[in-house]
Amino acid sequence: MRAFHDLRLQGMLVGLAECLVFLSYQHSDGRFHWFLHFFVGAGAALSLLALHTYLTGHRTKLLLLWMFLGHMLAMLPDILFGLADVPHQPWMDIFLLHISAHFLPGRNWSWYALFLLSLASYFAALAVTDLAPTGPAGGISAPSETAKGTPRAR
Amino acid sequence: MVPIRRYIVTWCVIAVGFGTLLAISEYYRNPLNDPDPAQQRTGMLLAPRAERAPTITDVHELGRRRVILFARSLKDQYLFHDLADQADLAEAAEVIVVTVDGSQPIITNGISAFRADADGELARAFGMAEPIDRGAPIGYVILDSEGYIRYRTLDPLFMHHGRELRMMVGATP
Repeated sequence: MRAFHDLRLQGMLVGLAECLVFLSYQHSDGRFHWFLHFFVGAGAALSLLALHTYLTGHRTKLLLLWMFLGHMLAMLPDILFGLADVPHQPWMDIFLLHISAHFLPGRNWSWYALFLLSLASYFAALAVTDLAPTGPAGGISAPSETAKGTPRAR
Repeated sequence: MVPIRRYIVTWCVIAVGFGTLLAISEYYRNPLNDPDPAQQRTGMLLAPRAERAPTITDVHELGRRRVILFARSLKDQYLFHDLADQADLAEAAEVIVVTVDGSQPIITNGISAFRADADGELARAFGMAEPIDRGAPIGYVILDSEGYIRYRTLDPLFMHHGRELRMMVGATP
């Protein structure tokens, strides 16, 4: 698991997994749904991580994995639809608004904007953490001494 | 130095990257698709007893589910990529095929009736959406055994989506 803390390795594995998921959607002419649930799931993960980082000062080392898990949660009804022959039903909104999310005005462009907003909030939380008098441990994009858990010199 | 600039640059790269991918995806949409992608292949049945289906003369047999398949032309074509889908669908529901030119597929077994719909009146009566290219819709409507519309979608690739179609028919009472 520790090896997975390497952002490049994480990026390769998650990137590969996302490519496979995208191809499965593409195969059934469903690119729209891949983008939709990616923006919703990854955006939700980023928002929660931003909140977590801001409140605790700790950065996750599994950023991309959390985004991927968010995406998987958002698309779970599609997995049930494709693999278990379960049609969509209104209660499936418990999976990050899987049903209602389709009907947001502006469709995927609106979710894209919200995704970017959540990404900005996450980066803002990281920046606030960087500025804190006693810097927290970890971090995926901070300098190496921060990643090792040593408070950074100001 | 706080790496704020690094965050901004990363954010911009991600924004441009996903924006470009999304724009390409939108640009290369199938012109036979629904202009509103959210309305296509929702995978969710419509509410029961909400919308009565128009009558199709001499094939309006109550008590059995019906699938009305809309295509532009089926001349020299198979209805489904996998012929087993046609057999399975015919077993689960009454199958009615509507084409613009009145053509029939190569294999007609299991199909209850054919209708020509040159002026699109039948497609409009069933509430089929107009595709991006503004031509005749390609897709299907599923009616429950009481004659109400329970599912309606454009699907220019329905001939490859037999499993999905059977699933939606199976979920229809």
